[in-house]
Amino acid sequence: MIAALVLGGIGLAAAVMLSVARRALAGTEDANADAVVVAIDAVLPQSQCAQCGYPGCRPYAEAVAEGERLDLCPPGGSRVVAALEELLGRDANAEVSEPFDALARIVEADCIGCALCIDACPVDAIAGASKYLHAVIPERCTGCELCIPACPVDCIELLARSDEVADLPPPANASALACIGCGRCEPACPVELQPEVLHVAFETGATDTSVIDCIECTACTRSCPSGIDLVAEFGALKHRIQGERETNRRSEAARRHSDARSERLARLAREQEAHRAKRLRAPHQWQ
Amino acid sequence: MTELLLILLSAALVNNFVLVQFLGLCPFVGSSGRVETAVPMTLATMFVLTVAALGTYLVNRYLLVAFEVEYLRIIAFIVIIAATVQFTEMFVRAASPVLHRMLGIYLPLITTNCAVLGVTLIAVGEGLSLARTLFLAIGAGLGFGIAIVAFAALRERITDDAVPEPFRGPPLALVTVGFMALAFYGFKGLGG
Repeated sequence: MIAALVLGGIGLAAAVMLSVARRALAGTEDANADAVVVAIDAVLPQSQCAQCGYPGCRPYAEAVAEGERLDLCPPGGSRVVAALEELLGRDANAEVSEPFDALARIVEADCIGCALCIDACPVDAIAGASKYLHAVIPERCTGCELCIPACPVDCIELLARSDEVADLPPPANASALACIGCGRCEPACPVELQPEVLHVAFETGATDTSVIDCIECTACTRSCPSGIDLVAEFGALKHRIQGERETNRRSEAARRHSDARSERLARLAREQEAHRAKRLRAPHQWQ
Repeated sequence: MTELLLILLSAALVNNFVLVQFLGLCPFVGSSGRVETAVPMTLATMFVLTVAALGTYLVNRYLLVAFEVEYLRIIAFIVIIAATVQFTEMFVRAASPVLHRMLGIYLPLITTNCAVLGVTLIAVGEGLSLARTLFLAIGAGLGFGIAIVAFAALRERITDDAVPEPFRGPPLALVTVGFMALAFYGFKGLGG
């Protein structure tokens, strides 16, 4: 009897304290609920392509925060899945194919100037007016393919982005022998980088931004007893970092464009509504 | 005072709960992938340890012993630990939802972290005073923190290294734990 009372008392006291704490914390919880969505949205590629089944990147981020699958973003590829897994601490359990970085192009000869694709574009990347030829602004296009079904004469084609900062082919005599970690390259470097660490970053596909400081003097290459062409590797590493920055910059721009578009559409809808309301209030001219 | 500091040092280093007594290995391996998750995990565990030690001390002294129901010790302690963890989880979710996602299941799993129950049971079993119990708990938390942050830093380095395929991931992590335990064994010399 006493045992039951003691245990029950402990449980009751704990329950009361927890419910009091829950009430006290409820306010801050609401204020911070948005933070997860913003963090997820920052990872997504911002192509606004709706291939995930949601109308854009932000709605998908909201769905992911509620527990939607992580592997629904085709333009993001494995990079986005890995970043989401790390951010949210759960496994996607999915094989994701690598994204194809595409760019839409309007075939001038076939375009009838219907302007339907302009409305379909989520990032305002198509310029033109009704009955005039349109063109895709390559800098803005995210390759989302949403304009293709909108076109009645099927005149939009998808190209691979050719001005892409692609990975350089690996240096010809890369890793003639394996790195033995002798550390001779480190004192050789005149700008005090760690060539050994950068070599590992190159091999594992990691990003190490300190490589930007490399002046490509070839001192490390000459000091390497395994004959690894370190400088060529660092050139490729710089290229990779440049490519990543370019991708980030483009997704940032796409986010801005998409936000601007939704804002503009909302404003237009509001104005139209106001106009309609005004006309309804005013007496009809023919009455 | 010296004795309290000795308890702190002993719990943190010489009798490190993770690497010498092998308690609390689940979060030690589970949430040590990155230093950014290891540090908040440590803070959460330290908080739970200290509050649970305080709570169990009071409950043991003024309820269990007073009513002569000491045999309820483990179940009562677990109720207290579970409540503390629940509070911690609520707090983390309110303060930083992103962190809450990052820690994932390991946050509520502090409940079953045997280091927490271990500390409270050791404190009661040895009949320690309140101050000593608290210092033991803080020391255990510190020791957990030292071990897990050092381990996370090592793992971060290992993931970028050219490791032979069969040793990638958990195997090398476990080998690393073994080496760390050996290294911590060296602190035995501190006791003289």
